[in-house]
Amino acid sequence: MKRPFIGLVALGSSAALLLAGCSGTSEDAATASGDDPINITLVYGQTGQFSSFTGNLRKGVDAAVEAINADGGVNGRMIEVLALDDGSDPTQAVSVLTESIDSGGLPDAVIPGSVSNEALALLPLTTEDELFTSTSATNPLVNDPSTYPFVFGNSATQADLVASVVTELKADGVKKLGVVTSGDAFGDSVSSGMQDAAEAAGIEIVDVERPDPAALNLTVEMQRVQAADPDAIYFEFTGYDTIARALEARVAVGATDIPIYGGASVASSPIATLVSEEALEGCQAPASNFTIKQEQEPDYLAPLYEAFAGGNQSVATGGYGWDAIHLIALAFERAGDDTSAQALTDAIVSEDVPADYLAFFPTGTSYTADYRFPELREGSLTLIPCDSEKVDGLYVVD
Amino acid sequence: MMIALIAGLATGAIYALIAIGYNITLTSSGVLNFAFANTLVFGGFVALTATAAGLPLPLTLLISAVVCAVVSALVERGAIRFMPAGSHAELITTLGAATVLTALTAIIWGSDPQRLVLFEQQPFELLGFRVSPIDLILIALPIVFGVAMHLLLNHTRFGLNSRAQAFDREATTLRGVNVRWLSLSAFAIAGIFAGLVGPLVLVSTSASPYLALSLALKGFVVLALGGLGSQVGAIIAGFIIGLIESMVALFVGPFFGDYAVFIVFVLVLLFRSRGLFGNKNLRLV
Repeated sequence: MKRPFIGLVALGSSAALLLAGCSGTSEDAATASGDDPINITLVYGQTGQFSSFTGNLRKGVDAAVEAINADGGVNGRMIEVLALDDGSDPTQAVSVLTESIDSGGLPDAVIPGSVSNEALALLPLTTEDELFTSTSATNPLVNDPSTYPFVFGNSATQADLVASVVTELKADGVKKLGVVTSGDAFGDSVSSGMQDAAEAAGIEIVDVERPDPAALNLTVEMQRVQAADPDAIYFEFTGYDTIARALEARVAVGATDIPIYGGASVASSPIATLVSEEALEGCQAPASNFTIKQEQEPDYLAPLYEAFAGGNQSVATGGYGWDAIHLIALAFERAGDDTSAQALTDAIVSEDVPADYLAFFPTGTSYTADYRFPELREGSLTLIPCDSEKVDGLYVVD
Repeated sequence: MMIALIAGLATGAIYALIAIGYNITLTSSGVLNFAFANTLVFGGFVALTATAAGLPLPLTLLISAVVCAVVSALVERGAIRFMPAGSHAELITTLGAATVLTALTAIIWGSDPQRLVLFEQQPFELLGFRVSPIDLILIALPIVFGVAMHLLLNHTRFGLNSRAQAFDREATTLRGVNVRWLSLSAFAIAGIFAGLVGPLVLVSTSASPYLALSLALKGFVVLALGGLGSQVGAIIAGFIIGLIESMVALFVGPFFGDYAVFIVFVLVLLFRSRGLFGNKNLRLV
């Protein structure tokens, strides 16, 4: 007689556990308030290909969290960050986030990787779990509210970023442009952004090279671009070592007489310490104004600058981490007690992000229900020489 | 085309060096040491510190070789020595050692890539084409070291004993050969090799702690393509892979380089499963 009873108890317990496991939806997060911390999960490549810049991203995240918590948190709630290492592998990113959710429950918000490859892999998962998400990915596919309704970019689109370079290219009389960028999702966004911007500016793209970002040698790619006889080359990679290989390949093929323009990643890299002086000849990159030393740095970014003081790493990548945390904090502050993903989303699109709040958008920015990338306002970027000196993480430009 | 040819040979040389390193322990102790590429990168970072201290090139390479020999011997002691014979557990334990080595590299020198300058170099004209000195050095390295390792393992008493223990450890032990010492020596030799070539590889690629992953993958492809245990096969297969990548990138597009390599790899293994120069009977001695 005991066996059926034990079986029944086991079945009941299993069902209860199953139901308990299945019940971890965003409803839990939506009802959390008061003294509960705001739990943010950061998935990023602490190791692997992207690790060269994610350390700086993390510095920015930590600086933002410390600053917000020191000011009393968000509506009295402290921010806590759970960092997960995905080894710079999008597949692993999905695994570590799934495992974290299964074992620890749903976070209140997610920062899904530092580049488009990771973000695009994670967004289906964060969307399914109705998690508010802030990403520095720039791939246009991310900007799709019908598919990813709770996702907000905290970096301008590649189209906006390259627009500043294209303006300069046009001013310099460039009519034919070669493009070298990685053969991955990040490179897709760079390539399509540049094609649109160049077309609008009447610049012909004569060659696009898309090498494997892990390639050991980019000489052939640079040779192909050189053979297309461009007036200038635009290049952009996420890995600092790949950026270095691309510039050294210029020297190898004797293309240093062709001006080369880097993207935002190039501007945030410590490129001057990675390559020879010859490789930097005629190289420029668009730096956000907050990364350039000024007579008086903005007070609201003091904790971010402090995190980079004394080092030669650019504060730029830290800015992505700073902005990701601040955008999430702003959403929670505005949403009040209702912290469901929908309420947080409404809170961001309902009014502009104020000035002196985000690092990359010092004059403020705005999001709409249909467009989830921040608007890059004119004058936010300055083209600087790649060999510019760096002091305390800030470029010193004459 | 000449520039692409040199670039392809230089990249292929790097792959060949990794495969030669795999072959050293494979032929002399029967172990495929997946931590070899990581040891090589570690050696490059040791050289980074040595050059920063202002040491001359020969001393820098010597220090790197000694440190890598010790590291490699530690891998043998930690990841191989206590594994049951014939379990093939080393495939997992050397991968673990590789992960530890990369983490150690990142902890000591940081995650950021760094520039390693062992000597001043300027591209120069050769037969009317622009060539980087480091590319020519890289191309020469697998030929010099591959032949040296081939001679060491096939024409010395140490090599004979090593191959014997790789083929049948128990029988070799019964013949009075100290197989533990042999195994440790093989790893130390692989470490010396890694320490000597690692700095030169990192001059070409820039020094990144996570470089080992891509090196290990292509190195393994070269090892399989050339034939397990064949140093000559490793050299030729390395250059073939590098040239395929480079030429396909030049004439078709960079996107197709890796695809072409793996198509050739699959075709070769389909029709010649032991690789280009692999021993049909897998008998080492």
